[in-house]
Amino acid sequence: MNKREWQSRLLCLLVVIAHYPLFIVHAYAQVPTPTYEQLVGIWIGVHTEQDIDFVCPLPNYIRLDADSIYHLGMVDGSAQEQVSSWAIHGEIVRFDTVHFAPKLVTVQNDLLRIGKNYPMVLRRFTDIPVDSTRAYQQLSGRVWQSDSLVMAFYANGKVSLENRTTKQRTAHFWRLARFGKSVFIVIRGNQYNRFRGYKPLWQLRSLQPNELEAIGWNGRAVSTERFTFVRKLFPGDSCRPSGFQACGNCFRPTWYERSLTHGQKRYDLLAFVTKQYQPVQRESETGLIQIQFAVNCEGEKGAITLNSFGEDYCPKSFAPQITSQLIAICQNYVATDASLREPERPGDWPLDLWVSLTFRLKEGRITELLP
Amino acid sequence: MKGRWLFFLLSPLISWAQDGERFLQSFSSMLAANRTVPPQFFFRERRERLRLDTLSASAQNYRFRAFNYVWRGDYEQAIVWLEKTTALYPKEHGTVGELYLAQLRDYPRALAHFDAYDALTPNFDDIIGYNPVSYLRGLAYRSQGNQEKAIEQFSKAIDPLAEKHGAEWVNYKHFVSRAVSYIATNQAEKALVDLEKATKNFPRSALVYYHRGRALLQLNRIAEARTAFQDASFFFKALRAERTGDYQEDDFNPVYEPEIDEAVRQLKP
Repeated sequence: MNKREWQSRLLCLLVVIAHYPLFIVHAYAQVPTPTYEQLVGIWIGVHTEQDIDFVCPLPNYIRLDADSIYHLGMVDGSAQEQVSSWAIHGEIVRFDTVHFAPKLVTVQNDLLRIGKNYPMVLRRFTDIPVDSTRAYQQLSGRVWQSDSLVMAFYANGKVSLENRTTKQRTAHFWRLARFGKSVFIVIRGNQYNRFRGYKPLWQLRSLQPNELEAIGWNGRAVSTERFTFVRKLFPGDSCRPSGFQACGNCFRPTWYERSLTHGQKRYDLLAFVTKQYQPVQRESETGLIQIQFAVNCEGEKGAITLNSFGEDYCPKSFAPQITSQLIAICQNYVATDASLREPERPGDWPLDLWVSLTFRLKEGRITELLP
Repeated sequence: MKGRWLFFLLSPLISWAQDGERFLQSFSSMLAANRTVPPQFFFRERRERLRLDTLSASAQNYRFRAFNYVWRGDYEQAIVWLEKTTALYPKEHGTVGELYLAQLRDYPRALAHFDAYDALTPNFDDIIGYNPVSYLRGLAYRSQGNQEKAIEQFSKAIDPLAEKHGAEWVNYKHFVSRAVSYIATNQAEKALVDLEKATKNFPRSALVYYHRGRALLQLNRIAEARTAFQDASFFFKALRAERTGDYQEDDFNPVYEPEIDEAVRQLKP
């Protein structure tokens, strides 16, 4: 029985957990359902809360008109606007054809939250007139920084974003998009091309020669961030990530796990390992070695995580002759098999992937590859 | 020529637009997914971990918590919770033993839990999931290389059921497992008997034909072995076309296409 079968069996059991309705009632009792007037307006996407510590930016808007017309579109105009209707019936809110149970749509501090499964957060939009030509001239070829972020806007359309705390830098593409009278900085794509998702949108609020203000998500909250001019970019400056960068802008390793431990992939991997691995025969080299790493859609590998456990499942170190061999074997195998990154459907983008392999060893010999 | 330039100029815009359309589609799907409140947060590790902390003490909750650690690869915590689960809820020995067998490939621990589970109701071959505990015990012994004990346990799982209700009520994979152990101990005739019964219960099994080929080969019945391997190859390819993903007929008795193809190639006249 594989991991998915285990999960589906357990899901059936857990659906009937007795205290689950009480938990929901308790958690959502505090938040009132918004009124019609509170919901009317334009809402700019901030992000979807995929997990407590992980969000994916939303580059779209929802416009809720007072005459019950619902508009869904992209802030950068990259898709045809969808038009439907919306309504409130008692405590139930309906967007398009989707009805939300009481408390699933809330408004607090000008933030619209939709749902509890993957809560989507949008902020109320206020149109702020900005001259887009001036904005472009002020950004292009320059480096700007806030308390948390450094943005370098290259004249060739590339942009690098650097977290000032972690010093982690990623590379993307940028452009300005006009929305109403406002101007948004739209950052999207990866180090290779303009596609595969967006970074948080920034709405320009004011422009001075050495200072600009923009509204957006700063990593902690939606706020008006003040960016100061740092320097002009030099002709030799190039836009590169500081380390591994996934192609997708919503990359969470465990979601992109590619199983190599079932079917033909298992056979191929075991054949590769059997051929390459030289046993280091020592009685003490017994237990589990777990190797995990990410590979982006172009085959670039991220940092390796290695965890090892003894037969009693307590952490334990193995001889470097063993661990270094296994790391090299896993990475070489994944690097040589481009089919792992192939998209699931024709026409889709090649995949970023995450690999997690656990070997069971007995006295330095590999005895099992855990499923 | 002019048209080609136009295509090159427009293609980034077209792709940009396609990306936008795709995004709106995914937003609409997520909007729909958000109309329900989930009982648990699959693939949201941190949120799910917090939820697990709030669960009351029960066999299901303890077991689920332990399994979560296994799926996350946190083996140290997984084992703490697996053992805690069975200590508080002895009926969980069976499921926990199955996890040690199937997921962790820890055969000594699996056997210890199967024995503890079986001891709860003496003189009865308890069921774990879809299998009698004796069958799972047989798999654990076989994985340790103890074929005699494996055959003994497989027989305990198969024979009483076959005698009482008929061989057609026995899971064909159980016959295959015992046949594999018979082949490993050079008892090919017995293996063929089991595989014959297995074929009746699932006539399109590549797994059964593959091991039938191996048994026949052991008896030096080359032409019949070749036919069996060719049948295995046919059914493997047919099943692969029918199923998506990395389909494996039986995780406890994995058989791979290159192995079948190699067997066919070796016996080419």
